Amino acid sequence: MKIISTAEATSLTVATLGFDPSYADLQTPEALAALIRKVAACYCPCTAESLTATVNGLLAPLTVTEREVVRDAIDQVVAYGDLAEIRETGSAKSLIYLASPSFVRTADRRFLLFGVVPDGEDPTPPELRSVVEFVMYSRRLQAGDGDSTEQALLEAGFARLKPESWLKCPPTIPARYFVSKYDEALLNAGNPGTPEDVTLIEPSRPVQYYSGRWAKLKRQTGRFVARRSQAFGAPLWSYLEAKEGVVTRLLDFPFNENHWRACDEAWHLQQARDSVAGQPQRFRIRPGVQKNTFVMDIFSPIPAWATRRWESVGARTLASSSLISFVFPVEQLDSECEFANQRMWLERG
Amino acid sequence: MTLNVWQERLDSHFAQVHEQRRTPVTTHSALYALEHGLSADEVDQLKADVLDWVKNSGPSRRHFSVWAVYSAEVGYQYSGEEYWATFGALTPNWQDCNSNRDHIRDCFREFHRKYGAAKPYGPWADHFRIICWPITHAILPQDLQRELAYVLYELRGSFTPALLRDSELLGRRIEDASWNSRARFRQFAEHHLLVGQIATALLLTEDDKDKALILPTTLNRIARDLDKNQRSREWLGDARKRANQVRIRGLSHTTGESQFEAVSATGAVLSPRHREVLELGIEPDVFLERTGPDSWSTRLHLPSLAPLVQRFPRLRDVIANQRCVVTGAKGGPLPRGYLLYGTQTVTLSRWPSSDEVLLKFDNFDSELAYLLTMECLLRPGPTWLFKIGPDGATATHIKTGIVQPGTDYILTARSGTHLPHSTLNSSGATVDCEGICAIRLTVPDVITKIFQEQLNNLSISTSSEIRVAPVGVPARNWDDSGTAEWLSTDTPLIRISATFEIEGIILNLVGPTSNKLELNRSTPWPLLVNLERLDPGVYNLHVLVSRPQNPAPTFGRLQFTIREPKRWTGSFPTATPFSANISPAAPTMEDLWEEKAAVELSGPPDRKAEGSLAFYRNSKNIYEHSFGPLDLPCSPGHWLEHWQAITANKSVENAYDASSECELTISCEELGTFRVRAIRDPKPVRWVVKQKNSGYFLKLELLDEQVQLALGRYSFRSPVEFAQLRENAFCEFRVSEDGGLFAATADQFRDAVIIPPAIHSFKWLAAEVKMPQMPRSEGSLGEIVSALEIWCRARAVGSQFAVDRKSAAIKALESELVRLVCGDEWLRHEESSRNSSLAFSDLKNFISASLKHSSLSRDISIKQESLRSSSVEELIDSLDWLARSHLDLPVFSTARDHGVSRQKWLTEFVYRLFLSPQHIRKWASNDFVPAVGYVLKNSVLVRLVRVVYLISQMPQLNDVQCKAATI
Repeated sequence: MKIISTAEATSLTVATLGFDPSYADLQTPEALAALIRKVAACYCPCTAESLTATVNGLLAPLTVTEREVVRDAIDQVVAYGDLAEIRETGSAKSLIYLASPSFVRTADRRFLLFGVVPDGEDPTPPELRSVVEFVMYSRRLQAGDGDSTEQALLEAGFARLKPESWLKCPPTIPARYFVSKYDEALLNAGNPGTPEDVTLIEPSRPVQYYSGRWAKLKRQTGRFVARRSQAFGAPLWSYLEAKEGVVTRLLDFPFNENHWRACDEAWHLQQARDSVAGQPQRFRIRPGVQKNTFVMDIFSPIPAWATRRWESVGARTLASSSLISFVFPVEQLDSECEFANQRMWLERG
Repeated sequence: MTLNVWQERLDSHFAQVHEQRRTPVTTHSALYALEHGLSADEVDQLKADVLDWVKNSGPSRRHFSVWAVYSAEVGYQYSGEEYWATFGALTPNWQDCNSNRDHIRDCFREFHRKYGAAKPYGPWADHFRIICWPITHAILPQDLQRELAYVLYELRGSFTPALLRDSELLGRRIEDASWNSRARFRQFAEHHLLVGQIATALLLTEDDKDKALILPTTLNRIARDLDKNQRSREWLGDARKRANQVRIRGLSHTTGESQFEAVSATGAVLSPRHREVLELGIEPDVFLERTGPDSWSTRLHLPSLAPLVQRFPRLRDVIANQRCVVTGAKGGPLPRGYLLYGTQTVTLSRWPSSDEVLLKFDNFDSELAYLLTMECLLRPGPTWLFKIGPDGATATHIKTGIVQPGTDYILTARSGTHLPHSTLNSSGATVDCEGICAIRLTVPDVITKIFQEQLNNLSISTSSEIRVAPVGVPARNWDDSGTAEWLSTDTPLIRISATFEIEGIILNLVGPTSNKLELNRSTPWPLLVNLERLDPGVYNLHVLVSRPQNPAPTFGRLQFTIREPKRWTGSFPTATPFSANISPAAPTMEDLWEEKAAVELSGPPDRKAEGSLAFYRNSKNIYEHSFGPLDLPCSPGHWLEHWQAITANKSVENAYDASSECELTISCEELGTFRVRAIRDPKPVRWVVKQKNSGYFLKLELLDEQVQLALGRYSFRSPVEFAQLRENAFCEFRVSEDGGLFAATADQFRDAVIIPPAIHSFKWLAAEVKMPQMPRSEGSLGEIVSALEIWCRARAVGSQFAVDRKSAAIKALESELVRLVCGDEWLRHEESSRNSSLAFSDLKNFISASLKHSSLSRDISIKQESLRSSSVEELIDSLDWLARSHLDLPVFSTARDHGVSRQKWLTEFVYRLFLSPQHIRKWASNDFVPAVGYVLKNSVLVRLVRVVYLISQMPQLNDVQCKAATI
C-alpha cells in the first residue's frame, strides 16, 4: 500500500488497461475503449447512462473527460460490437450487455475480434495476444497463418461470425422511397401524448456540423428526427411531426430496422431526408498518411452497419475537422464511395 | 526383444521402484504400470513385440508386467467407455473373449501382489471389474487431463500451504470441485490420494519434481501431454503460479496459514467458517427496478452457488439435483441446478421476514441450511435503503444504511410506522411487494441538523466526511457505502478525500496481507492510494483521520474482498443478451435423450439461435446434426418440441446409440454460445438400437466382464408381465412389430429400452394398457414398484409412439398403485375429479368417512394455497402436523428405530411413494417392506398424503418443464 501521485495513478491505470503509458493516456481512444470494456465487464447488464457515470467517476480524479466524450465512446464500442445494446421486452428501456467473444475473418489472414467476458480477463489465446492491434475502438489481428489462428480462436471459445451476417445492411433503395415509408407510418401513428424535452435535428441547418443541427422544439412545424425524454432512462429516438411547436404525430425507433439500435435507424432516416431535401450529407476524401491509402471524413454519425463495413475493409482513424474518419487502401476508393452513396445517400464533397 | 526379456527388465525396474517406496514406509507408496520408466521409442518397441506375440499365441501370465504396461498404455490413450474396442483396434489378432479379458485382470492382480501396485476401488471399480485395472494404471488418461487442469485452475483461489502439502486433502477438494465435470472424471476424482498426488506433482516447480510421489519421467510425460493443449496449459500455468505464491507465503509463516481477525459489514468479528462463507460471495442482492414514475418492483439477484459447491462438495447433490423455492418469489420452484449457472434474477412478491432463509431446497440438509443462514438472509430491518442509480431505472441496496448528500433513495420498511410521515424532502413511492411500504428520500446537498436527526431516527446515518472511491481501475463491485470487491489480477487504486482540514491520517489494512501507513499533514490531499496486488481474501481498510484542534479522530472503514477472476470457458453465456439454463446442471446423455433435462433460452425476440448436436465415439466426431433457427426466448416447452423433432431424426437416433458422448451447442452469434457436453452414464451393459430397413434392430453390448444376464420383454398391453427373450441378444436381431420394453438385468445393473410398435392402422395409434387388478398385498405393491422402476428408467427410442407407450404404461402402473394403497372407491373419485365430474376441492371429503376426521378437510382447505408453493420439506412438515392433529395412527417402528421421528419418516415415505415411486425402494432401503405393510393398513393417512400431493402438483400441471422431469 502506498500513496501515489495523479500522474502515477494515470500511468498505472493505462498500464493495467494494456497500454504503454509513455505513448497513451486516458484520453487516447484505445485506452478509453479498453476502460469501457473493463467497466462493462464488471457492471453489465446496465443502462448506458449508468455505464457512463461509472467510467466518468473513475476518470474524474485523473483527467478531464467530458461526459459526452465517454458517452460517445460507449456508442462506438457498441457500434463496433464489443457490447450489445438491447431493448427490454415490452419496455422503452435499453440495456447494455456484453457481447460474447467472437471474430470475423475479413481477409485470409485478417481478423476483427469482438466481445468482453464477465471478469474482464482477455479471452484471446496468449500466443496471439502480442499480434492483436488496438485501432481506435477495434481490435485487429493480422495472423501469420489464417487457418491456424482461426482454429486457435475457436478452441479458446470465440464464436466465428459469418461475414455476411455481421455485415448485414438494410437493402438499397432510393432515398425518397425510404423516407416515404416513415412518412406513411407517421401518418398512421396514434396519439403522441405530450412528449417532454423534445430536441430535434433542424433539416435546414448545415449538414457539415452535426451538433449544430440540434435544437429544442419551440415553434417549429414539419417532420423531424428527434429525441424526447422519458421518465427514467435515456432519451428516446423518434420521428415526429410538429405544428407550431406542438407534436401532432410521433413514431419511436427502432421501427423498421429492428436488427440495429434506435439511433442507427434515426441517423439512417436523417441521411435519407437530407438527400431528399437536396442537402445530402457529405463525405470528404483526402490522401492517407501511409502510401496507397485514403481517408474518408464524415460529418454526421453513421449507423453501426456502416461502421462495421468500414472497420472490415479499412480502419477507424483520428478525425480531422470531421466527426468520424476511416482510412482505406486506395483500391477500395470506388467501392466505398459507392457504398456511402448507395446505402446512405452521402455525396462526395 | 522377446517378452521374457521385457518381463525381466520391467520386473527389475518395478522391484526397484517398489523398494524405494517402501522405505520409509508411507501410506502413499502405490505404484502404477504407467511408471514403467521406458522412453517413447521403447514403448513403441514393447507394443510391437506384444503384437508379434499375439500373432502366434495368447497372453501368458508369466509376462504379467508386460501385459500390465501394455494395457495401461492402451488405457492412457483411450477415451469414452469402450476400452475393449480400443484394445482390439490397437491389438490386431487379439481374441476378445472372456478368458483373455480375465487374463488381463489376473496380470494386474499379480502386479499388485508382487509390487504393491495400485488396486482400484470405489463404485466405478465395482461396476467395471476388469477395465478398472488398466485405466487406473494409466494414471491420468489423456481425455481427463484437460479436466484436471481446469479443476486445478478453478481451485487455485483456495490453495493454502496445508492443502498443497496434503495430497489426500487436495484430492478431496478436487473431487468436490469436479461436480460439473464429466462422469468419468468424477469417477477418477473419487481416488483422492491418487488424484491429489498427480495434482501436487503437476503443481510442483521443476526443482521440486524429485519430491513427486510419481516417477518423474511419468510425471513429465503427463505434464508434456497436458501442455500440448493450449487451454490446459494456460489453466495449469495459472494454477502453478498461484501454488507457487502460496508456497512461498506458506514458508514465511511458521503456522502455515495467515491469521487475522475479519469483521463483518456490521462490525462483528467473523468466525473462521463465516469468513469462509463470506469469501464465497453468495449473499443474494435485493434491488428495486422502476416500473413507473413512482413505482418500483422488488428484484433479487441470486448468486451462483457453484463456489459453495466447490468449497462444500457434499452439498453438490442437493444443489444440483433438488428444486429450490425462493422465499417470497413469484412462480413455482426453480428447476434443479438452476443456481449453478451464474447469477439469476427473480421478482419478489412478498418481502421475506428477517429470519427466513431465502433459498429452500426440496430436501432438508442441515449443513446447507446452516451455511445458508450465514449469508442467504435479507439484512435485518427495520428499514432498507436503496440508492437510485444515475439512470433512475434501478435502485441498489445500501447495506450499511449510509446516505450521501445530493442523492436520491428509496427507503422501505415493513410498516408505515417505521417511515417518516412529515420528513422534509420525502415523497410517496410504491413498491409492488407484499409486506413492505416505501418512500422516496431526497438527501439535500447540505444536510441540516434537523434532517440529520430525522435520518438517525430511521437508523440511517450520513456518510462520514471522509469519502473513498475507486480510481482508474474499476472495482468488480462497489456500493459507494463501504463495501467493495476487486479481482486478484487488479491493482486497486482508491481516492480518499475529506471535507475538512487534516492533521494526520492512519491507513490500516487488515487481511491476508496487512499493511499500515501513517501520514502527516504534509501529504498532498486528496490521497491517491495504490493498494497494490493483494492475495484473495477479505480485507478491512481502517481510515483514522485526526483534525487540528480536535482530539476526537474521525473513523472510516472500507471492507472489501479480493477474489480470483472467474475463467471464461466459452460454454456458458454470462452477462450477454442471450442466455441459457439447463436443469440438471450436468446432464448425462440419457438425461438429454429422455427429456429429463429442461432447457430454457433467453434472448432478444428479434434474434434467432441456431444449434448443433454432435456425437462422439472414442473422442471422434461420428455425426453432427444442425438445427434451427430457434425463436427467442425459448421456453422449456418450446425447447421440448424442438428436441423431439431433433431426436425423431433416424440418423440422430442411430448416432445416439453408437456414441458415448454428445455435445449440444446453441449459438446466437455474437450474443453468446451455450455448450453442454454430456456423457453416457457408464453402465457395463447396454442395448444398442439401430433403425434400418423400416425396422428396429437390437444388440446387447457388454462393456467389461461377461456376466450372467436375465433378458426379457415386457409388452405394452400388460406392463407388469415379463417374458424371457428367445433371441441371442449379443447378435443384432430384428424386433418384432409389436415392440415392447426390452430389459437386460445382471446382479447390479439393468438397461432397458422401449421400442415402438409398427403402426399399420389408426387402431394401433391408441396406447391401450390392460392392467389386471392385483390383490391388495405387500407383494403386489412391490411388484408395481419394480415395474415402475423398469418403465420409468427405460429409454424410449424411435418415435413419439415409444414415448406415448411408455407414458401410458407408467400412468396405468401409477393408477394401480393408487388403487392398491388408497382403495378402489378413491381411485374412482380421483378419476371423476380428473374428468371434472367431481370438483377437485371435494376430493378431500373422501379421505375418511369417519366423523372424527371431519375437521381435516377444513384444515387442508386453509393450508391449500401455501401447500402449492411449499418445498418437499415444508410439505412433509405440514402433513406431519395434519396427521398428528387429526389421525390417531398406530405407531410405526422398526427394529432399529422408534418414536415420533419414525412417524414423520413414514409420512414422507407415503409422499415419496406418489412423488417418485421408481426411487422409493432405494430411498427407504431396508425399511421398504415394513413401510409398505403399514401403508396398506392405514389408508386414511395414505389418502391424506395423496390429496396433499395432488395439491402440491397443481400449479405445475401445465408446466412442461416439470412434465419433462417426470416422464
